[in-house]
Amino acid sequence: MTTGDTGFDLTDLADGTLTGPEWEEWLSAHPDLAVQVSMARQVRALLMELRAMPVEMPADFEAILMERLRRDDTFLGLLDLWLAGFGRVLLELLGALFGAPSPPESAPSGTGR
Amino acid sequence: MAEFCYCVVDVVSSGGDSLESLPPETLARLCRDTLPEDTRAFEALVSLFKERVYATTYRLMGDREDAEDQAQEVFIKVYRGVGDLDDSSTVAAWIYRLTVNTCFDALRKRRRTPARAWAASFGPEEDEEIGYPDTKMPTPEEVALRGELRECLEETLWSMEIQDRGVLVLRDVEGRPYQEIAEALTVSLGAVKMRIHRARLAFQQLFGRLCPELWRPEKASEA
Repeated sequence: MTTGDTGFDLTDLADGTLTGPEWEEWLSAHPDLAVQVSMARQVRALLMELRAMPVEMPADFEAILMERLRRDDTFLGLLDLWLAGFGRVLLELLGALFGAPSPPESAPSGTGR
Repeated sequence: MAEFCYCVVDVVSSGGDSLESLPPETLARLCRDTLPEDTRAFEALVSLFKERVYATTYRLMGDREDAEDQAQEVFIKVYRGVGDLDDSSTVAAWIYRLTVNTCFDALRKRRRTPARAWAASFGPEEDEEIGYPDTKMPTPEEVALRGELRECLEETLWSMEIQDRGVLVLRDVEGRPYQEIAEALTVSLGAVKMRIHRARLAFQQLFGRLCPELWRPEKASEA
């Protein structure tokens, strides 16, 4: 039985999802795989140490984020305005060149959403 | 609906109760109805998730500056996408998935293991205290040993292949369920378990080489 074939069960054994005398027996019957499970358990225990070690947040994280969002929104708003203006000029130009009707005026307020 | 939600925001923020005390799914619903005009619910959502998101980006990216960039990126995606979230009860899992995917994308672009900038930024400053869960004050030797262990663990993790590091961070450091990791990496449950096992063995090899004094092999029967 290769590790590739049993990787699924070995992770469950290392994590304690599969427990019980039948699995201990199985491990005793496969000493080389039992060594792997033991190593995996040790690695898991070591890495769990990191979970308890605090990660310090950078200062002003939220302030920087909100500033970035405000800047993005302003930029997108300006881009929107610019594109709308550019679109209108383009339509007028096409109209002048090919005789298409000029774009309609904006709908009066209160006629729709 | 929007008017109702504005009222909720106003009631909560004026009633002495803070928005941060609301569950994430309520905040997500509020964000959907109040952004971009009113950012208070979004700010509360950031406040609720920022530490979790930053800890994950830090562990995956292996560099404080990159971790901050990616954490910012995650919240920008939250800001832009929270309105399209169909089921607000999944907001926590969604943010987590965004975090993991954002980091993996960045790491794939970087295509190299992180620079060792972490070494300079690693751990507490000389005059900084470390938080311990127990009330007993650690001795200077314990502090030094813990610092050394952390340095070794992080150095080993950040020297690993992206995929191996990813599954170990998600499973062993952050304790995420297999299913969630499988979804984040878009692979099957069986593939995730296999990858975790192989990554642990790879970690053991590397850790034993980088920090032999800290690796104490046990006999299989002791485990």
